[in-house]
Amino acid sequence: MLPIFPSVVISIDAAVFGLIRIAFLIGFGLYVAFAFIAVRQIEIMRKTVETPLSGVIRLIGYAHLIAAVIIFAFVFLTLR
Amino acid sequence: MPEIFDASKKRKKPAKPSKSAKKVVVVKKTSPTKNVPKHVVEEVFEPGVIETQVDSSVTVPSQMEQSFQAQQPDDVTVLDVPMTDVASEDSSALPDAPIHSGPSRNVDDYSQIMANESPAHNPFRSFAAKPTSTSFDSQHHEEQILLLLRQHPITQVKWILITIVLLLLPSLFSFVGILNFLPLRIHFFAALGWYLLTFGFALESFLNWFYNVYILTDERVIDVDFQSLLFKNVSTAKIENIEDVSATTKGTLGAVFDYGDVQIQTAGTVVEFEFESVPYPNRVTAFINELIVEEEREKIEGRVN
Repeated sequence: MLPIFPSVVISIDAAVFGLIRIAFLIGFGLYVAFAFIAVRQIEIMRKTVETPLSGVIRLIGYAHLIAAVIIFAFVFLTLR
Repeated sequence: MPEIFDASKKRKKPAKPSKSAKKVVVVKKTSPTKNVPKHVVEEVFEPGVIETQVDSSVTVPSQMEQSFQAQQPDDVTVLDVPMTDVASEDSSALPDAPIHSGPSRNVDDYSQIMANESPAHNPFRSFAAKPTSTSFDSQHHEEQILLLLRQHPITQVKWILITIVLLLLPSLFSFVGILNFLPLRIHFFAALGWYLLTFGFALESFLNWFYNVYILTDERVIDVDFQSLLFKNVSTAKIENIEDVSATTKGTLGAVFDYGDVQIQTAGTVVEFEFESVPYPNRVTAFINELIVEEEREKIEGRVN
């Protein structure tokens, strides 16, 4: 049986944490892209069919995009 | 010639005409090429009687009247209408805007379905008759939206339930303790990401329902399809091109909540329209039939716009 050194355990932990960090960054980055596409799509939908709710939906779309960007930045700065 | 019969001039109560006399309504159709206002010539007068109802000071010589009838230009229509109803009434009851007065009639005048429906102010309605503050991008200047349809709300219960389950899932995981081996901040970000994804799913599902609409105007049928974030399809067909309309109610839910599909077959090679899971499919079918009848009537009466 091979001996397990503490330094090896620490490096494995760091590798796993690094992978999780990268996965989170990619995931939230993709979500920002999705939120941006959603805003563009809402604009197209608004132009296609104008309803009394169009302004509110547009606002929700932009709020969603801003929230996605803020969370992405928060994850990027925190998981370092 | 038309200036003599200018309807914009103040009307005077006519001299009582004889019952046997006929009223002649002269209507000048608007010409698309000439900038002629509507109703330039729209007046009532009696053949053989010199005085007109436009103004007592304006007289129509009998020769002029005869030549007018003999040499009608192409853009003038003369209708013979019995005088009996008019003779006993006030001049205000004269046919100011009966059938030939405008390009189209009010929908309540020819549609029993719409006459029973009040204008829809609620933007979430899936059967919105005469919706207010609603328009679409290819709408013509005088085109009116008469009916806006979406899928019945009961068909949206599926994604609403999925959203609720997704919202409850993180609480379930923390209760069972499956992810307890991960650091606390990873827990936090994982939950944040999860709720964001859930919101994105709900927003996308709502948008797909809200903007996938079927619009019936006084001229056309429009099917607006947003199948995903990146796919948009808008199909239109003129009412006059509709050949066949049928309604299908499927399943227990459809029967209970009165929703189903409406298929519209148009002339030529145009793809068939299908309004999926719309409320009151029979009512929609009846209304489309009323629109077709009105369209035919417009053609016959020369009110085609």
